[in-house]
Amino acid sequence: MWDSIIKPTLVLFLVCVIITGALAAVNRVTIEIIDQRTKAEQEEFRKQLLDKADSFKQITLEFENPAVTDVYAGYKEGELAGYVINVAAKGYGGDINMTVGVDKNGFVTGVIIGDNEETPGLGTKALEPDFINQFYEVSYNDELTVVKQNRKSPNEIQAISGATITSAGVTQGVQAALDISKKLMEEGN
Amino acid sequence: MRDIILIALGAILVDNFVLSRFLGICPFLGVSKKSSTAVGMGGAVIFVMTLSSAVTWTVYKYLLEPNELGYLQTIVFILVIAALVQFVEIVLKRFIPALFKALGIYLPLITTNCAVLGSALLNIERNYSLLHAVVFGLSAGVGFTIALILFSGIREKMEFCDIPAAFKGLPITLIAAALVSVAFFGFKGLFGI
Amino acid sequence: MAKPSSKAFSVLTNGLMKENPVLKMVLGMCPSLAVTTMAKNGIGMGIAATFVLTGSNIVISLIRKIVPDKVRIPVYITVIAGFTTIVQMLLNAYLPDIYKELGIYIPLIVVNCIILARAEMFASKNNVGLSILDALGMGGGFTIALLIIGSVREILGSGTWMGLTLTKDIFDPAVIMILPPGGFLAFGFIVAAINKFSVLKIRNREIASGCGMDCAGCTGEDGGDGQ
Repeated sequence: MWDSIIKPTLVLFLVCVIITGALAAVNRVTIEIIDQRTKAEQEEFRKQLLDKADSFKQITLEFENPAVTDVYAGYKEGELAGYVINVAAKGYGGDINMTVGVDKNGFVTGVIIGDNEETPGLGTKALEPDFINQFYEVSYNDELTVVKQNRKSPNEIQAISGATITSAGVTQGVQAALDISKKLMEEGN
Repeated sequence: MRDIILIALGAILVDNFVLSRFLGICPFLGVSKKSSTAVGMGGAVIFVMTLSSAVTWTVYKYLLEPNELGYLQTIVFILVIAALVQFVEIVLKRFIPALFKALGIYLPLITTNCAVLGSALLNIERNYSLLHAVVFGLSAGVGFTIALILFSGIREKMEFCDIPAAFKGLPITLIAAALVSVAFFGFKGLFGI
Repeated sequence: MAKPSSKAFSVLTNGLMKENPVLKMVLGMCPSLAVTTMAKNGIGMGIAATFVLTGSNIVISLIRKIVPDKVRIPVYITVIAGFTTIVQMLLNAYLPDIYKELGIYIPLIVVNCIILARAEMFASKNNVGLSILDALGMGGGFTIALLIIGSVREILGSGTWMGLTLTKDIFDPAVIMILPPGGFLAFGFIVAAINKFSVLKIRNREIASGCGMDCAGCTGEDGGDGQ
């Protein structure tokens, strides 16, 4: 009885308890570091995208666009300088987390790509500067469209061949950020 | 409905678990020498993967997440899968002996098949609903099976080929797998890429 | 005196080349193919796996006399899963770039055949000191194999190596090498090259025996093939 049932069960149970305890201990240490790093990283992104702003405030709003995760308003000496918006756009392999900066005139100041699951070498090409730079000329009055080739005007974003879905995902993400900032600007936040 | 079809096609063809995610390579190379064994292994994987997707999803959403125990995910999932495989083995043996006879010898291999744990982890990472998770598990299993059966067909033909000595065995198998993988890569165009 | 130290030495070097877990034993294939799009990722995965292997080998060797045979495998898996989760949390906290690149393949270290195989074959039968050496040797061999595959793929597929630009500007890199088919291709040719030049010819060994010899996940394969 002891050897066949109780001892094995007891050993297995003890091993599980000890391992779980060890994990809880490590988790307690690392989770703070991870939290702090994520926060610092986000702050860094905001400064990078709206370098004029000296302070940021998170805005809570009823999102009509589920892709938008956080919105921050940037201020320079108390005056609104623009918005920084975190978006989770639908990519090819899952969400593409990106941070978009929009200045007070409604122009895109930058796009930073975060965690994503796009195919290395194909989809990820639509996350590189060559593609992203196309957004620097668009404002929130533009309706962005994705074209396969022959880009004619700034609001036409030329997809990277082999990465059409990623291209479209990133574009939709930027569009969502622009839509939100337009709405906020009109409400006078 | 559309998203379900997309998940299914994605897991079966476009992002095939074996050929594009490299999950379940060990059984893919080991059990693909004959078509008949490939079918058996595939069946067992589909069965366990569908079931484990549902169980691990439920455990995560109702046990781990509410208690902020997300970091125990890996350890809980692997134990759940191991227990599930044992359970399936016992149930099949007792109630559906015919099926047990067909799948039985493959079941113990599945616990350490990374495709099963992989699909459980991906379900959580991608924030799927229960229905999506089950569809994903099922389709990933089907994708695994299709790749396995196709590949076993190729390997049966290869038996009679004259292959340079250095390439015999594993190397030529891997290169054949590369070609199958290239073929599956064509499915990337399925969604208008 | 000479004897134990020479044994220790052979245990340590065994995994590096003679029984290299990836290139000779054909274990741990999934990460070897999946994360080797860049040499850097190969090293990251290699070190993560070595950490798990060392930790699990130490613990399993320590408790080898208390654990009843019946629950041996579940206990090993629990220990391995524990160390894997620790590695996952540490990487996330201190090396976030590697953590993001390796993604889902970090938790999948749990089902890496190499680790369970070493627990079952070595740590459960040897003392702690030797088990550590075995883990370092096998982990080192795994890392070297991943580095080789990763380097070949990165140089051919991206024209870079460890962040250095090599051939990128001279000719267009063959992108297929960093895509999934390139993983199979590179691995196939590397094993073929080793077969060609290796003193220990293993050309006629079948995959099933390489995989099924000691890996708990694959032990039934020989039986399966016999059907």
